[in-house]
Amino acid sequence: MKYSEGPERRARIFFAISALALVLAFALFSYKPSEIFSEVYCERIDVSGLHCRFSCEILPKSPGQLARMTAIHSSWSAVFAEEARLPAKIEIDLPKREYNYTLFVNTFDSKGRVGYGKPIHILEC
Amino acid sequence: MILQIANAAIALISLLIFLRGWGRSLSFEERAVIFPGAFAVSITLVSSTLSIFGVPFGISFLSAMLAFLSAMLAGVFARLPQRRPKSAPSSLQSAVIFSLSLLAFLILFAKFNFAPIGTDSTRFAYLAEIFGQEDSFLTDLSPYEDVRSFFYFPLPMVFPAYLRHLGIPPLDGISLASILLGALSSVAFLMFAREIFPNDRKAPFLSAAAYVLFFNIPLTYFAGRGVLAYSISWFFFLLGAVPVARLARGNAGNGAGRDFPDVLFLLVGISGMLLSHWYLLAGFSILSLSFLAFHGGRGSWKPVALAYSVSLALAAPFFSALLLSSGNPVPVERVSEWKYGEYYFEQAGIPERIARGTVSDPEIGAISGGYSAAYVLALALALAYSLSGRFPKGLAFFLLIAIFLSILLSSSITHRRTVDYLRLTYPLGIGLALSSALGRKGRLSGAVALGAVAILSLSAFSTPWILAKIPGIDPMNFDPVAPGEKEAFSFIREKTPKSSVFLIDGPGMGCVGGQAGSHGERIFPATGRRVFLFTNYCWANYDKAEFFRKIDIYRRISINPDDPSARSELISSGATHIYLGPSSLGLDRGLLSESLNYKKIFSSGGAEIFEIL
Repeated sequence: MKYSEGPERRARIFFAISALALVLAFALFSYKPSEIFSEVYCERIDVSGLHCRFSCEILPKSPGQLARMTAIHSSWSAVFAEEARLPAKIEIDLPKREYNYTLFVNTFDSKGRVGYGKPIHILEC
Repeated sequence: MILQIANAAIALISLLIFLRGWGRSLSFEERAVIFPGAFAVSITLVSSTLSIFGVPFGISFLSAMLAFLSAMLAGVFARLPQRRPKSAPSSLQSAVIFSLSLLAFLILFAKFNFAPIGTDSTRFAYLAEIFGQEDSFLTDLSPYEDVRSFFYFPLPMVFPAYLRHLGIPPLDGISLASILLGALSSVAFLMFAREIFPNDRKAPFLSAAAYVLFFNIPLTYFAGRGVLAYSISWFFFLLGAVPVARLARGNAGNGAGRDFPDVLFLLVGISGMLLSHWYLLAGFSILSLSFLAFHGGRGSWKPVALAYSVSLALAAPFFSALLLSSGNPVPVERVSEWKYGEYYFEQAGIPERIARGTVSDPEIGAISGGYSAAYVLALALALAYSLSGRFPKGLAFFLLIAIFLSILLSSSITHRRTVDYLRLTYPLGIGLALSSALGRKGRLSGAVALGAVAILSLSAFSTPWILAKIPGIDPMNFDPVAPGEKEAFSFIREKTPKSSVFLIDGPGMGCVGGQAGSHGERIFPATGRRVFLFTNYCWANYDKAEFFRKIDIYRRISINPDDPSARSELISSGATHIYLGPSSLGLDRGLLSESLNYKKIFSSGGAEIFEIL
């Protein structure tokens, strides 16, 4: 059985629709540089047999944006989570373990625009 | 109990009516794939829609079964004409493909101790248990969870709730459905390959064998970090792809009776994707439009348009009600958290994005040595056959559009899954090349195909490699079930009060994943005992204040289990026990064991349970 050839016109219409869909998809999904990312500086200030304490300073590109900070000890499992208006200086107390923690700092503004920039910081405990 | 017996009886009667009645007008393969697909879609659609409007689940399930039975009876009275082709393809081929695929899935699941696979699978079991306990589809999950409303596709949570209603625990129900649908999807692929190569008996079988051996498990259970809902959607994608390729050959427009099986496959396929995961609908739409644009005979658009319209109309009440009851399902912080995983992918240029979309490993989109080399060869075959005209023009166009889309979508680890479907052309290329080589017509392409097969066999993320290496690979995402886990759950069922509440190690971070690091959330669907904190839902509005409060208690108990204020808050919040899985996470086994405030009541195979004194 052989495939029948469709009308050329229909193929052309499909090309046009596809191109339009691609432009729309590009508009929706493509990377757009944003000015709302933050800079994060963390240092370990205290260590004991039970815990490690870090001091972190989170500086926004524009004041007033919100940061959500989550420290995880394995994929998707949190041990610390907080929100703060930026700029912020916070202390994070984490259990002393044989591994490092990963701190995600995600920033966003009230309009739902998400901050870009490097969001991952390793906390060596 | 009466409702459960009635439900099971109606299911069996429906199957008998189907097999002895109008199902006989379908081929062996069509019967094998359409009944489970239609069953899952009908149950989900009717029961979730009724339930979200306030009808108890027990009544909703019975109504769904009666509706399904009515559809089966209507099929009998409609006296559908025989449409089986004179030269029916060999059922032996289907049986071999099904058996091979079933064997692969059984080995895979056996390696996980028959626990559900997929990062979000236990989240669905969790939801199924809540729905079962409350006898209703809830969007406010309190007091079981700190989620106040959510949005998601109903099939992965409602179908396990239905199986639970029949007495199959949600975790086992999900595993059972995954194994069955995974194996049947290989039969659907064989049917699709037969429509692509209608004059070749060897190529469809070899393509389906390549699909089973190298693509089915990697693309379903590992693509996009093993999202269960996505893997279910693959089955429905393939169901819909069969009639699309068939309609495009010009079989359409010959009367409602002859169109009926195609419309049925399209209806079940599209509805199934709508109800399980929407990403593959985009790929299916491109596939449909490509085939119909290039091969659409007279009237061939009508069944596809009809199936799309009916599917959307049937699903609309449920999704509308869910959206209205959920408020804003995508609050700002959800998007923000998704973005953490996207950072590394957004920096990629166009060549890298195409490479990620076409030759990267299915799990995280990394381009990795041998595995990517095998995909390069498979892609080269698919492109060569597209250009030489040995693939139907529609399929060739579908492949090219999908590659182009990878520029847009593979910059994100989340959206990269939306272009995985282009890889269904790869086993077709391999199968056709091997078939040509066996006929001594294409030695070069046969050699390329053998090269791809050889590399795929030896390198990462082919089915044999996965079966050989699990549980050694990527334990963070695909933890096998520790030997002690099921034992621990039995202990909890038998030795702890039903009102017990468990603090689990490794609770969720609010989004992105679907499981705790310890798998402790499985306690709830396995035993009915509540969990103190497990919040790992995207597309959800959860009680952030409560989440921050509980995660802080967990952090403080992890640092020092004897911290008086943390202990006091833990106890006043209702927690009675602590559960630790085999992985070492936040909680400290040593400190808990030494403390006089906790009593170890279970320890086996890495799992430990402490009673809070």
